Amino acid sequence: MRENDKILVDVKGLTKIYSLKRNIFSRSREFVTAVYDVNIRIKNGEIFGLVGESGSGKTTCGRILSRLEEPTGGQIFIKGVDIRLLKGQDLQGFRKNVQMIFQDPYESLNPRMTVADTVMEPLEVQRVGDYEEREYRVWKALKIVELYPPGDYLFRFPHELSGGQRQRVAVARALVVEPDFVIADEPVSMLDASIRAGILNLLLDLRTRLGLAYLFITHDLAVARYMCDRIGVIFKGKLVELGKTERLIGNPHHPYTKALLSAVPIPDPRAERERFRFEERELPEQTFDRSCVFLPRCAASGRICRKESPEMVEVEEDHYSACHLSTEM
Amino acid sequence: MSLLEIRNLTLHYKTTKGMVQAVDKVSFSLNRGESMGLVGESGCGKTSVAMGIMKILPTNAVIIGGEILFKGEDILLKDDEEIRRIRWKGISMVFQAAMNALNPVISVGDQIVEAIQAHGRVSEADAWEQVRELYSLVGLDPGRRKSYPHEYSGGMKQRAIIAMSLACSPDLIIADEPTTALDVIMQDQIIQEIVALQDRLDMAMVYISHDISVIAETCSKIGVMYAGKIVEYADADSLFYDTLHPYTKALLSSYPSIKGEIKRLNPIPGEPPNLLDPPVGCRFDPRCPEREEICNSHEPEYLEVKEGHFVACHFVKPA
Repeated sequence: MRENDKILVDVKGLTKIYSLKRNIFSRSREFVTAVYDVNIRIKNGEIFGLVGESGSGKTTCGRILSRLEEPTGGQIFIKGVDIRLLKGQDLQGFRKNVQMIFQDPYESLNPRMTVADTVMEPLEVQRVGDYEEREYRVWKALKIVELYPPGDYLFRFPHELSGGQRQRVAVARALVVEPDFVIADEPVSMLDASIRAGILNLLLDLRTRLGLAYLFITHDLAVARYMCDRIGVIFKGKLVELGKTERLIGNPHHPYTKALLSAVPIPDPRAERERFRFEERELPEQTFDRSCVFLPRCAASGRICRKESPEMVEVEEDHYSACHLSTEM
Repeated sequence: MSLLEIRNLTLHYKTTKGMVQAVDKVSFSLNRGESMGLVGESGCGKTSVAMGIMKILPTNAVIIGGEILFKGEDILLKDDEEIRRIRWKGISMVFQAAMNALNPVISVGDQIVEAIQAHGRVSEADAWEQVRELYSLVGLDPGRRKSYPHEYSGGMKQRAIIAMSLACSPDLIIADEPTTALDVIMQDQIIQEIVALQDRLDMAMVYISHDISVIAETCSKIGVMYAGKIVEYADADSLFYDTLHPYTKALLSSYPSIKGEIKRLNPIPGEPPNLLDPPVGCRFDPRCPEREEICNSHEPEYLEVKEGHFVACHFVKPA
């Protein structure tokens, strides 16, 4: 097996159920299934895109993978180690290997800390090297994210930076501990187009230079197409289609992916786009084990869809879809 | 006569740090039934232009000069009472956050009825009948008209807002990022709805968005704004296929698409200028790949270089 083909992240049957208490006196509890039976494998150096609409559970997946939240069920192996079992020293090591970049650089940076302090903090927490070593690493990280010359940025506060520069600081902070795996949750959705392109290119270049793997969470399929090697499409907590980017976008199998793709606006007034029908109905309570999760919105459902929840089936090489009908067609 | 004509609109905001030169000599015109897109990044002044047209500017805004002619009359010279008569009937607006502006304790239908009755002598029964029609027009179930805002999804609320904006059959509708808060499928449905209604009711529309792909799908004419100025204005096809201004070119090559080959995106280096103290020459000069000496000292004129195609750049001149 080549180094590149090694599985870095292996997510098996990930499930997260939140319980909602109506009020402190009520006994009956309501449950919300945010993520249900999600299986993902990410290889070394791979960019895996998790695409879905708001409320689909994509952020919850990212938070569980970074151990910001505990899963209700399922296993997550990173480099072969079940991360749910990590404690103490090992957990510390995990936090060094797995880093996160968040959506809003206005909120994810401490407004009272300078760029130098912000980027150095993870090194201090991880007790990496002595002060000189840390200084050198901070310098190097700022250079890598193209905040150049680093000296100009070290002593600035977040309010003295633009949105794009702030997101670069957030990236530097994630990279300074030299992780293998970065979870990027909508890292560019707050940025303007001209700035966004720069951050996307930076993340792509870093993958090439440092061999990083990403879980790239986004609602924007055009961005996912630009960034990712493979894409998983998630709908109401369930992975409905997964495949190589070009195949998934060029030849989607699941009706939800089709609807999603046909709704993406195209920056070209001459482009004609065929719209895939999508039923706009309110979603009833989720019934994951009984019927297809997409049933209430599906324009092409059959009888079996009401009775059984479809499994992920390989529809072509390395391309999976969870739809009773897409395998028949 | 154009339905809407803006001439040299210049608008500043008074702040503790000085005057923010938010809109600078913006001119464009719009005929009945036409749709125009205003596209630009955050802070480029596109919403200020929209608020100027509706005369709903914040109190620290100062109109330095220019005219906003609606049916030949300058909106900026009208008093509050006259403006009130134009709003809704003449010009109405759909905002980005409008769906959050619905009153949570009054049913959506009642709120629309209120708007209808405020602008004409209509009986309560007739107003409700109009609400019913408006609901089917925008694709909402008329049976839901007495529901409260919290019983609607985000997309339904935005549809209700669109219904409300159409309540008094305006000649011009201003849509300021009407779909930005929505998911892609909902966005697509609302956009289709807006385009279809605009066409069917023969309204003029100014559609404002930061997303050039949304503008490409909704508008026949497009104005590109940068740092308070319109830098290029043309019909949609020319703007995309005969792009003349360096900023427009850069903007177009910074968008990924779901179609076509994957090309490396070109970010625009640097940041938009601080409008407290904008560059003396061309406002795009500090970031422009084609800049020359003249650009940082002289402001380029906004000229019609081809029929209906306006550009403000020293290196794009009329044939």
